[in-house]
Amino acid sequence: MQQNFIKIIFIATLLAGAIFAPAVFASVTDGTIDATYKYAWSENAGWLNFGTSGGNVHITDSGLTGYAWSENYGWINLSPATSGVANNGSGVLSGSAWSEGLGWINFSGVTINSSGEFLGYGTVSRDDSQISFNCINTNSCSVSDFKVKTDWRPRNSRLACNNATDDDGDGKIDYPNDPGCGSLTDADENDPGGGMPAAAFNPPAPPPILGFNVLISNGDEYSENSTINLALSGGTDSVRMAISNFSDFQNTGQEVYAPTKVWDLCQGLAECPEGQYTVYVKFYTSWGQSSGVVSDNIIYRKKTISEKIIELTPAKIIESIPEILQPLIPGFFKPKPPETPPEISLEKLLPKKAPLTLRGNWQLLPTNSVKEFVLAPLPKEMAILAQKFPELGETLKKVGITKMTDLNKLKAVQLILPGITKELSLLTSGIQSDKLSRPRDLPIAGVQPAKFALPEGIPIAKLSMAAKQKVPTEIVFAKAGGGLVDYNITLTVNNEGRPEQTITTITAKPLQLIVKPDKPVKSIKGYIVFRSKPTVNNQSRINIQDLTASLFFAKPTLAVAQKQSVIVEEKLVLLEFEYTDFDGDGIYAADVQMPAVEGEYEVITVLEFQDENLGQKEIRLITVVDPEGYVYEKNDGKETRIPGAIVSLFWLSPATKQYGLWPAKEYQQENPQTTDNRGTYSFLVPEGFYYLKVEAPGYPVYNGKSFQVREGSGIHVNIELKTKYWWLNIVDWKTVLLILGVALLLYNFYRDKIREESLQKKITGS
Amino acid sequence: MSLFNQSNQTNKSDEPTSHFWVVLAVILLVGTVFFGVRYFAIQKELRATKSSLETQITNGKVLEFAKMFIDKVLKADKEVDFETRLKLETAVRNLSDEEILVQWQKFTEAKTEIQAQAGVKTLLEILVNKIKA
Repeated sequence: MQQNFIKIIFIATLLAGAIFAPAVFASVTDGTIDATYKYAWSENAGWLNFGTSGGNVHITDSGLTGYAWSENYGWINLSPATSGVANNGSGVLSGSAWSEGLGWINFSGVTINSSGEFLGYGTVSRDDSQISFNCINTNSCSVSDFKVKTDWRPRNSRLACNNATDDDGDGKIDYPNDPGCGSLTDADENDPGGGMPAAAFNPPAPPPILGFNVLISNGDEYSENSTINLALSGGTDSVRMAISNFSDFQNTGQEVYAPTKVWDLCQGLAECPEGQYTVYVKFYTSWGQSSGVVSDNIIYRKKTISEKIIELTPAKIIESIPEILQPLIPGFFKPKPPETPPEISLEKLLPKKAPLTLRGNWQLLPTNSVKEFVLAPLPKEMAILAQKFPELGETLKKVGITKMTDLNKLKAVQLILPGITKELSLLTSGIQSDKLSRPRDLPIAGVQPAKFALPEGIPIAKLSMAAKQKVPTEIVFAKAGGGLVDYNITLTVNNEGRPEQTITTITAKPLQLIVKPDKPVKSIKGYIVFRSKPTVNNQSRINIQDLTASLFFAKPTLAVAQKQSVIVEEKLVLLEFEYTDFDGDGIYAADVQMPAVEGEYEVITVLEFQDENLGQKEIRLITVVDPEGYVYEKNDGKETRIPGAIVSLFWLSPATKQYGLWPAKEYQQENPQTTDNRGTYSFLVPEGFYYLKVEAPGYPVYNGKSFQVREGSGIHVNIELKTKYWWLNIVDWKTVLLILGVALLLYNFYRDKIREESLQKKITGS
Repeated sequence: MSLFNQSNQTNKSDEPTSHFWVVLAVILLVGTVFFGVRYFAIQKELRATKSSLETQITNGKVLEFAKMFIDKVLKADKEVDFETRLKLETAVRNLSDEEILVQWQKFTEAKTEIQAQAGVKTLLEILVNKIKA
C-alpha cells in the first residue's frame, strides 16, 4: 500500500514536472513560444514553426534568439551574428533573421501585443514574399486558426516590478534591485517612506578589487574592427554610465549601466583612420553622482589580405569540413526533421462565398472606350462616297465594312468607281426599272464587259438635260479622246484609313476634267501638283464588279469644306487652270494636258461658292501618269528603241463581233501610229478587247495577243521585236571559222590516208 | 672502365621509362585542363539553359493564368464557382509573383464596379508585361 502511494507520488511529480516545466523556465521577460500557437504562414515557404524543441526560441526585451523551422527551407536563425531580430521592449520587432534557403527575413512590421500574440507580416527580402504571423492579418481565423504566441509581454503590459523600467525614477529597476518592490508581482515600484538618503550625495562606490575600470576587447593591443567590446566595472551602486570617444564627453548622454557594451571607436568622428583610440567612461549613482573618468586605449588596424590568408589555419579548414560534407551524408544518417505542421490547403483558406467581382453582376471591362474604338463609323469621306454611289454602300455592306475597324478588310478587295457615262447609264437603267423615261442618247447599261456591249463614253455636250441633272455633284470625273473615253476612278484607302480617288493616264496626253458643283459657284480653279515619283502602289484597292444598283440618291456632299483659304504649295504646282461652263448647264469642264514626266500627281479642284457662308471647297484627285509604251529590240541584254515602226491597234467591234482597226479618229487620236526616235506610242481607249500589231523594216510582223481594257485607261505596253536574221546572232563567226579549220584538217588527214593506201596497192600490184 | 660502361647502360635503359612518365604526366595535365575548361563551359551553358527554361516555364504559367482569367472571369456571364476560383487562386500562387498576386487580390477585393474595371486593366497589363522575350 505504501509502495503504491510512493509510485503515485512519483508519477504525479513527473507529470507536474512535465506540465509545468515550460512555465517554470519561461516568463514575461524571457518568453518562449506557445506549444499550440507556434506556426507562421509564408506564401512561398509554407509553414514556419517557431516552437520546435530543438529551436529553443526565446523572446526577451532586447530581441529573439534561437531557431525557427521551415519544412521546405530548414532552420532559420533568429539571431545571426551580423543582424538578428531585435525587440524594442514594447513588442515592436525589427532586424532580420537568416535562413540558408530563404535568405534574410525582415521582421520590421511584426509586433507582439499585450497578449503575447505576434501580429503583422515579415518579409523575405529575396523575393519580397510575406510571412503572416497571425491568421487575423487576413481575417481567415475561421478557416485556419494559426498564429505565433509567446508568454513574453511588452514592458507596458507588465507589472511595475517586472517591466525593466525605472518607474519611480530612483535609479533602481524592478525586483530585487528596487527597494520599493517586494516581489516580481508587485505592481508599485515606489519606495516606502520619503526624504533624501545619504547616498543621494555620495559618488558611487568603486568595486573592491579593480576599482572603476574599462577594458577594451579584453585588453587586446589591436583591433581589426572599429566595433569593439567594452568590459565595464562600475561598482554596486552605479546605475548609469556615460561613454565617449572624447575626454570632455561632448555630445554624450547617460545610459543604463551594463557590465559589457558594444562600442564603436569611430562614433562621433568624421573620419576613422587606423591608429590609437581611447574610450572614456564615467559611472553614476541613481542620484546622479558620478565617478571619476576612466579610460582604455586600443590600436585600430585593418587586416591585410596576406594576414587574412595566413589565418586560414588547418584547424579552421578542418572545422569547416563537416559543413562541406553535410550535403553528402546519406539521408538515413541525418537526424529526423522536426514535426511538420498540419497542412492547411488553399481550399480551406478560400471563402466559400464568391467576392463581389466574381459574382457575375458587374461589367468587368469598361464598355465606353471599347465602343468608341470598335463601333466608330466609317470615315466621313468614305460614308459620303457610299451615299453618292449606292452600289459602293451595298458592296461595303456585303463585305461587312460598316465600322472604322472594318477598313482593314479593304486590303483584300479592289474597288473601282465607274466613269461618268457608266454612272449615268446605270442611273438610266434605274430610271427604267422605275418606269421612268430614259434618255435616248444613252445605251443600255448593266451589260457585262465580257458580252461586248460596254457603254461608250459620251461627250458632256451631247448629254440630255435630264442626264446632266443626274450627274453626281462635287466629284471630279476625267475624260479623254474628245469625251469618248471615260476614266474609271480607283478608290484606295491610305495608311490613315482615308479614301483616295485615283485615275491612271499616260504622259503628255490631254485630259478633260468635269465637275458639277452642288451650289452656284463664282469660279472653279484647278491645280496639278506633283506628289511623288513612280512607286509601287502599296495601298489597298477594292473592286466593285457588280455596280448595279441605282444612283438615284446620290446627293450628298463629298467635297471637303475649307475653313481656311486653300493653300497649295506654289513650288509644286505644275499647272493652274480654270473650269468653265460654256452652256450654263451647271457642269464645269477643263481641258488639261498631263505632264510629260511620269509620276504621281494630284489634281486639286477648288470650288468657290457664291454664297460666302459656304466658303471654298476642294476636291482632290490623284492622277498616276504612266510612261508611253515603246517598241524595242534586245541586243546583248540591252534594249534598242526602234524608230519608224508602225503600231496598229485592233479592237473587237461590238457591232460586227470581228476584230478591226480601232477608229482612233473618233477619239481624236491616230491609228496606226509611227514610232518616233524614242520608239514610243500610246493609245487612250475605252473598255473593250484589243490586240496590237507592229510592222518595222527588217523585222518580222508582230501580232500581239488579245487583251482586255477594263478601266478605260491607256495602252502603253512595251513591245520587243526580233530581227529576221536573229539566228545569226546565236552563231559566232570565230566559232564557225574554228569548226571549219578543224574539218579541213580532218579532211586532209583522210585524204593522206587514202593516198597512202593507193600507193601501197600500187607497190603491191607492181 | 667496365663499371663505367655498366652504369652508362643502366642510365640509358632508364631513359625510356622516365620519358614515358613525363609524357603521361603531360597528357594527364592537358586532359585535366581540357576537361576542366569543358566542365566550366558546360556549367555556364547549363546555367543559361536553366535560366531560359525558367523564363519559358514562367511565361507558360503567366499565359495559362491569363487564359484562365479571360475565359473564366472576363467571359463569365454568371458567378464564378468555387472550383474555378480555387483553380484561379492556385494558378496565381503558382506564379510565385508578388506583383501579380497583389493585383489579383486587389481585383478580387474590389468594392465597386469601377474599382473592379481598373483592377482588370491593371492585372492584364501586368500579365502582359510579365511575359519575357
